[in-house]
Amino acid sequence: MRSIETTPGQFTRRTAIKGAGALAAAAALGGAPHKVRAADPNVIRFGLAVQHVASLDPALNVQGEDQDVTRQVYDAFIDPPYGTFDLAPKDIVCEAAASWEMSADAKTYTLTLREGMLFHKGYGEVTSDDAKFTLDRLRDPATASPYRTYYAAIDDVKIVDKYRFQVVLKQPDPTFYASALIARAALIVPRKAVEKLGAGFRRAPVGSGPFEFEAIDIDRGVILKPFEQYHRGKPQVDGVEFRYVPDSTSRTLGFIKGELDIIEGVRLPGWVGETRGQAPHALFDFTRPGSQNTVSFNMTRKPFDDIRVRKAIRYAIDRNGFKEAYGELYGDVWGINPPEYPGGFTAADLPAELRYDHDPAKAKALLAEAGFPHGFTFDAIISARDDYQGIMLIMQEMLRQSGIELRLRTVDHTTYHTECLHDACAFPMNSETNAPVGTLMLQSNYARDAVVSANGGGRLNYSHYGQVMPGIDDMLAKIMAEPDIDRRIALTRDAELQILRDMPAWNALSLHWVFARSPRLDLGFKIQASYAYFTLGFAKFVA
Amino acid sequence: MTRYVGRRLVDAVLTILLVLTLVFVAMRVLPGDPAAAALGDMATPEQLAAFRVRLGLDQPIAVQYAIFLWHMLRFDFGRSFVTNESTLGLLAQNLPYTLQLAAAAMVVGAVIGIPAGVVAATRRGAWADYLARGLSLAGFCVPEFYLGALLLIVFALKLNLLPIMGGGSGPLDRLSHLVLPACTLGLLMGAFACRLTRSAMLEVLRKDYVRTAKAKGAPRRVVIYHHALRNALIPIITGFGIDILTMLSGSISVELVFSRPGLGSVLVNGILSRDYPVVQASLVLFALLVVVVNVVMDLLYAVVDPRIRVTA
Repeated sequence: MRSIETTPGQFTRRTAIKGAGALAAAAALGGAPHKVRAADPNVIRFGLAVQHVASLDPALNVQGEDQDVTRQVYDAFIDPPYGTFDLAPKDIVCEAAASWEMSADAKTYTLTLREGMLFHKGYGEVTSDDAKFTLDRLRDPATASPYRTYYAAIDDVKIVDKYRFQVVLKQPDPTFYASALIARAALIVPRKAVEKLGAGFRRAPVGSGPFEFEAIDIDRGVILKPFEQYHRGKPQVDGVEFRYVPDSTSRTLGFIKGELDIIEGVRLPGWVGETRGQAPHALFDFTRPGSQNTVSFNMTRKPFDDIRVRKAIRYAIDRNGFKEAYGELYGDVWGINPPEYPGGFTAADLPAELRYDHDPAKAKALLAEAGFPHGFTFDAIISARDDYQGIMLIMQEMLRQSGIELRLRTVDHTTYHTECLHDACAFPMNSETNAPVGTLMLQSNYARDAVVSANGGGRLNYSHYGQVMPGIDDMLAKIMAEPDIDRRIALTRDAELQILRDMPAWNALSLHWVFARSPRLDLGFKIQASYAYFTLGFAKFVA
Repeated sequence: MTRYVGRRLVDAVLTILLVLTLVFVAMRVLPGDPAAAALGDMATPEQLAAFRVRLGLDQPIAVQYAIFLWHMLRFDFGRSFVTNESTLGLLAQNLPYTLQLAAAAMVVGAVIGIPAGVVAATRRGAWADYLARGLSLAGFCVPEFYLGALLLIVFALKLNLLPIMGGGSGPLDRLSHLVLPACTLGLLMGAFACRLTRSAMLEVLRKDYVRTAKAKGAPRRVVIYHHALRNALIPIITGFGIDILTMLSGSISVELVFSRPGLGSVLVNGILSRDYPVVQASLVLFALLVVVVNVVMDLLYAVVDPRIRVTA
């Protein structure tokens, strides 16, 4: 055998083989720096549909799935009864608050915290100073909280004593508690921990909730352990692991095989049925009403400046088509707010001409009247996210039946929103999940000050309603000044009727969030409605 | 040798500088606002503006580029816009998983592809040749995500032999989590290696020295593996070097399908959330890996073929 002459330091085959061996060994033995435990059968393994954790600071949650985690780590002041969205004051559950009350003029909310409630990791007792800090931080522009608008109504947060504080509003708001004091952003953080950890708080959260943050593991996701001194009793499970599994196939397969106990479902036609077929014993939890999917007509673009065209498109859309496609995930919407919200319209509440029941003949007649006897073609971009794609593809087919050709171009979700927020979309769709407060969607989608602009200002008013035509701004001003909840709801319904008549945009459907759950995992309550997250503080494994 | 290595390193530095520039430009050309991605749909224009100022995104592009290069020179990859995590730390956590996957896939690819290519070449026109060529053609046609999902369903779900997701903990568990992703990438790499080996072997088998070895009565095994295959290794090594690029991009979808940590998933997520520091650092690392692999391949030429001298 021939050999290469070797001299000290020369690169030879032997050197190469040794080097390769060392590299292989390093690669094989190297790994995540966090120490990890073996799978524990009493630990909940929760599969989330995103790639990684973004922020576990509740003031800076921008990724919905992070709220699945923060809900376990922190306590809210108050919340609807678990598994529901019942926000009537009589139904409200006190969590960190021992009691709460609203003044007669709906301008002052007084809350009293439970005594002796502790933060994790030795950060001491939860006091009204922490509560004030939490709320002030949320409304402070420097925090740049995406939830700041919920707290813009606050004039001051006053500490009464160690456990009692008052939230004073700039104007009456009998629904403030329902959006701003429940478990969305209003999760109590310890002042000391936030000030000590700074930006690090996003990845090392400290709360007073049923589970204490343990680690973020590159492979196993966010690891939580039960908080021994939780004020409502130590959880019955040994922990929760939030696994980040963005691929819907592997997340579903992982659930079917039993590697995950609960997963965020896939909101695509057929997913529930197929998964049920593969895992007949699986339980499915639907959080109704779920996301609201508003489709807007950009009225600065032709032909959407013509109300006949907008109405023609409404008549071309068949609610039953969505219902058949999405099955259990689907929820009807008749007004702007879904029927599940207080004051939300049902079909029976609306005059026939504002129900926009599917009527292709009427759609074609309106198009002909508007100068499009043979229909027309228009372009739109759409997000690559499953729910956006699904809805728009179904809609594309429905419009085609009425001679309207919708040419869709798919872009990634970030690009899509950036484009729409810069007023570059002709026919944008937006999915949002709100507290059941009727004014929220009116403010975000239909108010004049929410109109998007080329420089990126505004919020979700893609239609330019209130700008290119009179909108509901005067009505909104009246609603926001109204302290009586019933009168407020009545005024909100009037505004919704006005929107239905003007048709700048419409809420096409509710798409429920869905979770597939092992029958071994009992949540401790039945899920009927909520945001797309819920507490696991009462969960336990059953035989 | 020193001059040769030095030249290769200078080439490598220039390549990386070019990649850095392309990465910087590509991220800025891509539509989508990193501030909106980081702060969410409910952020106000003032909040978005403050975010851009804080991260220097309001500066002119030339200034951003100069700052970017200065940071790169100091190996300061910054922090993720989205998580505020150290980018270098993020890459350091994920790199071992990608290296494990790449190494295992190369082993699978070489173990399957090279012998299959040798068999196909030495039995040219026989059923074994057609089978090897057919399978390698199929390997070229199947996308990684599809093959991965198929393997998951068969071996993890139906046969319950291997886990579905994650990277595992502890050597054995980690190995069991590596099998299916490595096979997914390795089978595709094996398809490439098979065709490469076959054509290289066919070329070599026609050479005079092979005929001479046969005429001297050398055993068939010695002729094939000692005389022919060794001489056919240069194009195969080159092919493997090139295939590293394909494998790194393939690892992105494989990591996604198997929910496995790694650079691929970090990169994809960074792109989707317009997380410039993460994308920039990931691509620089990818480029570094490619450059290092190319240098190693160049050096390996001299190792496997002593006729190549490194005085160039």
